Amino acid sequence: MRRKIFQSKIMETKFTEQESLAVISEMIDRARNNIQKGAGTFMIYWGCMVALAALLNIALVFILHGMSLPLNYSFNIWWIMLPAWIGSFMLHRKKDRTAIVKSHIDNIISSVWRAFGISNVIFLLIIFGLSYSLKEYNHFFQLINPIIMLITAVGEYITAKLCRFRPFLNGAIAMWTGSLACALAIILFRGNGVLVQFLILAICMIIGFVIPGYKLNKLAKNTHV
Amino acid sequence: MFKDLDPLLHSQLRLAVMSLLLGVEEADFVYLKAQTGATSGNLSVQIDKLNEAGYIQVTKTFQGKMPRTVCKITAKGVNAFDNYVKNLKTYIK
Repeated sequence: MRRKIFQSKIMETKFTEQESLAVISEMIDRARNNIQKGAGTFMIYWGCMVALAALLNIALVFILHGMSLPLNYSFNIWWIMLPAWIGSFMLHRKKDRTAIVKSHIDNIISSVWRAFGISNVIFLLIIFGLSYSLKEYNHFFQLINPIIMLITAVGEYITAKLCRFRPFLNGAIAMWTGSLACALAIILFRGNGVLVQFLILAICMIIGFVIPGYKLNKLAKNTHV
Repeated sequence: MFKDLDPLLHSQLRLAVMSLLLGVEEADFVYLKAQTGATSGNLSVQIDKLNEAGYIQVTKTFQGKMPRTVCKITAKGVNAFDNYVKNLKTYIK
């Protein structure tokens, strides 16, 4: 019966109670399964940005080492995240204006990632505050990558469960594994551990953000919404 | 005992629009048209009826030079839909 109803365009007509139930069921199902075109673009954007910054940080360490300059100058590459955030904000506003449908889940996911951003800023303030006041930099800075990856994994896990999209779950697993690997890198490589951490971060951002984002965009394209 | 079904909701297109809006935060006219397969004129008339009844909230804006209509279900609309489904159950049983 459901198929019969939607074979033709919906007209403004009276109909039976059974048909009424069929309409409700069909429409709720359609609304539930919609994925916006370009839904994965933010994942790709942030995945590329962070992976690029991490790899540039490694490259800068080698360049500064060759020039006999202090290696901690290389961390300044992370200021690139400020314009990246402005770019993301503008992209989000444009997407918001042009989106033809906004689901309840879209709103919850936005809130989760907003909370992620706030948590990261507060975490960095705590790390920098403590390291400067205690004059102890290395140990505190070595915690940045594994803890940010841990917070990212939480955000990605919630997103995976809300979207029921398996690649996000793989991404969360990659982040959790990466977080442990970052801690292990410090134990195994000591002074060079941070460099290894950045390499792990870049790999995890590609596995955890770029690949799922690309797959989500492909799925959205196929659903034609 | 059979209960009267809300005549405003007991029509295919209006019920389809309400069911779609129930599942999302808000939806553009273009989305509603694509999902229901209705004509622009017919959909526009039905949206106006739902808006007048206070079941949905319609916001008209401009995206560049193009007009844009965004619909959102209201609390009154959710209650009406809930009652409609409850009454519908008495017919199905």
